[in-house]
Amino acid sequence: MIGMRDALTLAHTKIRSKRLRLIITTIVSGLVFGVMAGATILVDGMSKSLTEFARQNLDGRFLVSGTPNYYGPVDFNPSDATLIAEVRKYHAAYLAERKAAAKRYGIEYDERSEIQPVTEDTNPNVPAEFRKQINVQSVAWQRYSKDHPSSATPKDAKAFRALVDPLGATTVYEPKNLGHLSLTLLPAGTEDLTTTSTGEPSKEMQTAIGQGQYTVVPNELVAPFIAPANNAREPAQGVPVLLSADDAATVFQKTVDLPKRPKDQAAQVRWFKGVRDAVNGATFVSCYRNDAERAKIEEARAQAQEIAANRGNRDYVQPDLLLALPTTPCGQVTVTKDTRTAELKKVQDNQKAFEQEFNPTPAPRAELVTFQVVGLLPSPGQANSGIDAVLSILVGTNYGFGAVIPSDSLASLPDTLRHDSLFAIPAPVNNDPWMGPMSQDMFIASFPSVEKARTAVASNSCQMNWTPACESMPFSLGAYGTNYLTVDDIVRQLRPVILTLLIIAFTIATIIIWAMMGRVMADSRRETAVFRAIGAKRSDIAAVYVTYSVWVAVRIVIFAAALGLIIAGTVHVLFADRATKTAQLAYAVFTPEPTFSFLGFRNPVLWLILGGIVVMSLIAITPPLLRNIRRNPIKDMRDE
Amino acid sequence: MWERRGGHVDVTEPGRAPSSAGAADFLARFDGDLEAAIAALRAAAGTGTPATTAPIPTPRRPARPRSGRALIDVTDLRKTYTVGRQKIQALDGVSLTIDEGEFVALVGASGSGKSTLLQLIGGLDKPSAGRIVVDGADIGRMRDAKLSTFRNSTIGFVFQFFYLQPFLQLVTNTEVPGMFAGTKRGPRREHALSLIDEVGLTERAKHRPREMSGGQMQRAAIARALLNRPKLLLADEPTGNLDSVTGATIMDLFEQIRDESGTTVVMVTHDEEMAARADRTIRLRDGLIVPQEVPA
Repeated sequence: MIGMRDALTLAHTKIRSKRLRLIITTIVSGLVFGVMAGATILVDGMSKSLTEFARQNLDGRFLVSGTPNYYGPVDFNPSDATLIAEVRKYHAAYLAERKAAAKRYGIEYDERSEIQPVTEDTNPNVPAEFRKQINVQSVAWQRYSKDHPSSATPKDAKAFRALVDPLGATTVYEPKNLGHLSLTLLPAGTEDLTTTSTGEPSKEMQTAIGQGQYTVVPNELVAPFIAPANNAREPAQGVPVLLSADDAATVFQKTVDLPKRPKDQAAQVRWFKGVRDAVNGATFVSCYRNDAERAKIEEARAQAQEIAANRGNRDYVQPDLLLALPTTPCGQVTVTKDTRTAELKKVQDNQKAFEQEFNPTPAPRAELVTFQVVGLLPSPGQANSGIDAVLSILVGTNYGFGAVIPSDSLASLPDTLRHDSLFAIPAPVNNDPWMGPMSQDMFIASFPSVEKARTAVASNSCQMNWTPACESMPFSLGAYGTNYLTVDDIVRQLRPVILTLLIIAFTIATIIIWAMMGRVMADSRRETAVFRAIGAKRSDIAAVYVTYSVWVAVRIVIFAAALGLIIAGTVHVLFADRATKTAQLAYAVFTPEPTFSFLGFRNPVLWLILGGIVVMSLIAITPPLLRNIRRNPIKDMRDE
Repeated sequence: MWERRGGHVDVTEPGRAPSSAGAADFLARFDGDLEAAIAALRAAAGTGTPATTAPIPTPRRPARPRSGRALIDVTDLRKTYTVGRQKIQALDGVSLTIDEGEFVALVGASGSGKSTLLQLIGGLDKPSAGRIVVDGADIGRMRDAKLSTFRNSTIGFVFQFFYLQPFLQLVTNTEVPGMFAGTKRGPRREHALSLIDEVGLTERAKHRPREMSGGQMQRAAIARALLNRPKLLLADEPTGNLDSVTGATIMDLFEQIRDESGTTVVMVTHDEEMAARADRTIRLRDGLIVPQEVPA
């Protein structure tokens, strides 16, 4: 049997002949793989860089958020006739209760004002058996589902722990979204309820705190972003809060002299640090009003507008219960005049008592809350287009919804500043009639390594969490805090496309190499015949061609790898510095290391592509080789 | 005994009378002294210097007796080719024996079956019927791999168009059969260089075929054929692509090989003059050996 070195010697003679054909084959086949190799190097480099920033950003912890999926086993069929009949009975009982109560309070009651327990679709295209459906908004259904709770496992913190603990999570956090609190920013501490703006809200009101978007998050999760306490923060003057740099610059524009955010990435880093120092300890106030108080505000405002509209109208009679808008920031509505008759007052009181009996609501309440800025959240720059936009997407951050209140810092405040009545109340739970109680908040799990976090996310993510694809997944998991898995997400979403492209590329390249090898062998039939004549076995001939095939493949691999390196290297040289600055802003990591690199070589896909070329080349050579070695050498000599 | 006349050889069987009187005269005067014979020829031409284009009469050599040990034994060999729907009987019952150390020329017109016979003896093709024994092995019954090994170790091939690897140096070209034999690189290279030296191409050892003349390439091909020290050298029209002078040097080389190593040489040729250099000529016509005329 011919030795490898000798096979290489004979294969080399083929490399030297038909050079143009070989060069064209190498370039055409290597081009596609080169682009793919380049993309793989880029993706791996970005992934590695994001991981490094994330590691520094949260001290080696990789956070994963989980939100309940809204798809699950359904206990009830809303069109089930038996169920509908049952719910109708509940409705009838409810109406009877309401009638009896109305009679007791001596008030008029019209049962048609109640939400009907069953809706009926008149669309003829809807199958008859589905036209009637239970109305889940109705009191009857709510009462029925309370008596017949869902058998589904609650999607709560316990269920989340049961999911993530086996996956290697070390800690589970429960951040609380305060979006339901209706906290309204009072710019400069003042409030004017007499005018209603119809135009675009002010810049302050467009910020997260202007829109009352707060999330209470354990200190551990945001500790790197809490600035060292300064004189302004000693003693504490309000609820601690972390804002984005943009929000802070907007809200404190008038009180602190802050420049606008520059466009240049390096300048943005300096600007971020400047804003962070300037607003550390600054305070602002927001007002909390509950639904009842907000209703009264609206009523008072409507009265004021009505009175203003009828000024000079002698026939106009003012309401007998006249309300006044508050005159102090976050004050309550006051009654300025009550000329109601005793009988009317009694009827209105009874009506109120009647509603309270069936649907208790808290008394009107308003509370002024002082917040104190204790740090800035990572604030990636806003870019609408170009490479900066791409980089912003890659390194984006998500630390909850809006501004962040560190819960441990909040808990350490004196009672007078803490507002337990607002922040200590549990978040409402969505008691889904079909799928059981579900938290409206997300849960967060901390993993010690990016690999564990990646595995957890990969095995518990589905694109649309209300679809059957998510049936076996109680929670949808995703990267929290920083987008360290963004590249993974992109790759996962693009995986079918990448796989298809890879198959197409390998098929095309195989055909090209097949044709080239076939041609080379056809041209070398005489040579093969001579080799056979001087004693080469079929296996020797095969060894020479297999060596040749591997040699060709290695050339393609080298070309593809070089092209990939050039592509990735060019991107790296052009954009690595900007990406580093963008990542520093996004992750609030301003140390010299890490830096952002677009070069990564650990991805197995890269080696799969390069190794695949060799395999592809061997596949391509097999059919012509089998044909070639089965040929009669005499025939080939005679043909010559 | 072998005889020549005027550079054209019709009969090579020992004892057969030459048909040309001029040659007979020359041969009658030839006593084995080559230099004297050449001088006599020059004198006869009256120039003192022989024309380079004119064939130099090859001197009579002493008759080389057959060894009696058969290296090749062919019995009732038949080979039929099918071309389209037509069957061509290339060989139609050939039987012959060639001894060890014999130099045999196969001659005949195109399509006579001489090359087919050479290829069958070389194990490059399978006979349709009959038996071929080479060095005691029935090569018609050998499996492909074993036959390849046998060819590699026992038979050397020389082709009309040399078939050297254009991108390999002469020394590497010479080594190719050793590559297929799996011999070690060092001794193989050493042996290849000695063979190159023997065929007079030492200066060309590092040259590539395109840098050499046809004769040099054929000598290189012969060196390649000899690398594995074969017992049998098969040459298919080895001088067909060479001028007569160069062809004669190739014949010299074959004789030298036969004489020095006892290698059996079987050569297919159209060239009667070259055939005359062989110990024996076997003539084929229509797939059969033409019976030899026995002198009265």
